Amino acid sequence: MRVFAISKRIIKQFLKDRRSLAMIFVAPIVLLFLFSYILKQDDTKPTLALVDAPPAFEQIVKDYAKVKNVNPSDIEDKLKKTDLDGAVLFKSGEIVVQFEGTDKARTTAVMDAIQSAVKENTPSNLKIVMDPIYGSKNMESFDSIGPIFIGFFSFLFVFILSGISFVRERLTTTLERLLVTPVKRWEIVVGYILGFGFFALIQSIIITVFSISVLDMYNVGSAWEVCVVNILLSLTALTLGMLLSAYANNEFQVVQFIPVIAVPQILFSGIFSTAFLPNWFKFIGGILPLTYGAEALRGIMIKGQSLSDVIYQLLILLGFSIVFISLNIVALKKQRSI
Amino acid sequence: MSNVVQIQNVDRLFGKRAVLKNISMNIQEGEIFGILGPSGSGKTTLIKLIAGIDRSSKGEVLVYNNEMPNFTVLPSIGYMGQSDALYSDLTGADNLSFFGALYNLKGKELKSRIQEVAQIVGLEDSLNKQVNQYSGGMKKRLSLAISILHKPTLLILDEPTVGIDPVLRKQIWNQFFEMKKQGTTIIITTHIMEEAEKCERIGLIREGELIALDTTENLISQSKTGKIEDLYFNTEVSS
Repeated sequence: MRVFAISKRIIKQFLKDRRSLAMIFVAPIVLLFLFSYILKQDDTKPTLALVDAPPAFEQIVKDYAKVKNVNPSDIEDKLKKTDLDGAVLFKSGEIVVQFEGTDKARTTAVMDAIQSAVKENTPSNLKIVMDPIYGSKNMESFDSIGPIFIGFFSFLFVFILSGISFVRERLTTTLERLLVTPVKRWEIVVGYILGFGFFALIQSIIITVFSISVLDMYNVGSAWEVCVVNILLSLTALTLGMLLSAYANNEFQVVQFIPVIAVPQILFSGIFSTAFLPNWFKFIGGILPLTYGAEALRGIMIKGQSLSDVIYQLLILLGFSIVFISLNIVALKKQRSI
Repeated sequence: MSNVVQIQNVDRLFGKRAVLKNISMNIQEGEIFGILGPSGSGKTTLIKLIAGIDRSSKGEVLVYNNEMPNFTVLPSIGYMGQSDALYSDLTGADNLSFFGALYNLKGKELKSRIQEVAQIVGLEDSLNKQVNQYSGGMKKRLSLAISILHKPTLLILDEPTVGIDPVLRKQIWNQFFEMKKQGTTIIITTHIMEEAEKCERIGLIREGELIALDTTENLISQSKTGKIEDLYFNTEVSS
């Protein structure tokens, strides 16, 4: 069957292309690893200097921060050099907290540590118990946005590769040669999807296993369901990449689609909260595939939902793919009218 | 003899620019037909219309009495474009078997056809090499091999022997004559006169217009010096 001839050829070509193999399999792993490290730092203790602190407070604050002995006249200098994250000065009637102020992560860590210590130092009758519906109170920031990164990487690399190889097919005129054979337009598109789908499938498995087992990302859902979402997301990336390549004249122009198409998706995908933004802004998020992929992944991994709970998101992803596939088949009419 | 290709009053416009102007010609079964013209004269556009990968703006192009492109006609057409159109990261054999599969060739039949065409173009020893290690001439030969793999009855070749050495060029032409004997119709574009002289009939194209169409002998006798290219400078030639 012609479809399989095309997908077999793509797989054969791809296996010989070590660089692309590395990009689709190794790059997401390295990036996920780096992201997990950057985001996990939020949970380390800040370094504080104390001036005239009561011994009781000093005892308690040690649970929340590293305390360093610093000469009060050196404090400003050390804060500037980031040897210190913050300094707590006890004066009559007030506690002054000094910090460097440009790095929000440091500031927040300092404030959190001091607030926790103050709360413990002056116990009230009311105890605040944190009781989140989903996740756990020990969830790190990487855990909550990790699913989005999984989705984004599944999307990005497949998008680039499918776009470039399809534009190359046109540039080397092999597409022209394909179209003088009795191959149908849909056979070309489906052949491409199966060929690249094979690699997208392997990529999804690698990303899922690596995130959950190696990076120990928070996941209360089942891994295979995470994988299914990833594959559906890759499918939209694959078909969108192919479609956009019809509007690119060379490989470089495919790459130019990344800032236009791929990057905005991550803004709307939930890494930054859009809860209080105007409706038109949310509407843009609503037409981007990654929004739904990220919702589904978060649902499964953090809320422990099953595929049937996120069926709405999955159907929309599938709908995107079907639309892109149909447009692809139509776009090929530009090359051959039947 | 029946007409394999019928072209009637064909215009092809790209935007406002007319690349082909009112072209009409018939190509008969079993003939070797040359389309001769300088670069940019519209040769490639014309054969793309015949192969069905482009559409005329006006007029009709019939191949085996069907308007192109047409799925019943496509399997009997072999087409080789000007650029090699090969998957350079695959081997020669991979390329051949891929395109063979698109023509529904498989198994033993496919294997034996690959051997046959490789022998015709003299590539039987390089089939397992990756195409990006091929020389320019080898790529051209592989491209030619692909176009005849499925035994087309109409072979359309865009500048087929550019970059091929004289010995092999002769060999390939012998193959064309052999295929012609078996009834294959061959359309060749070229800008080289001696190549054109091997064709039975020639259509001369200049700036999208057909300025002469006749048998090779007649065209030669029409020119004062016995060289077809003189016809380009002779404005009195009528088609």
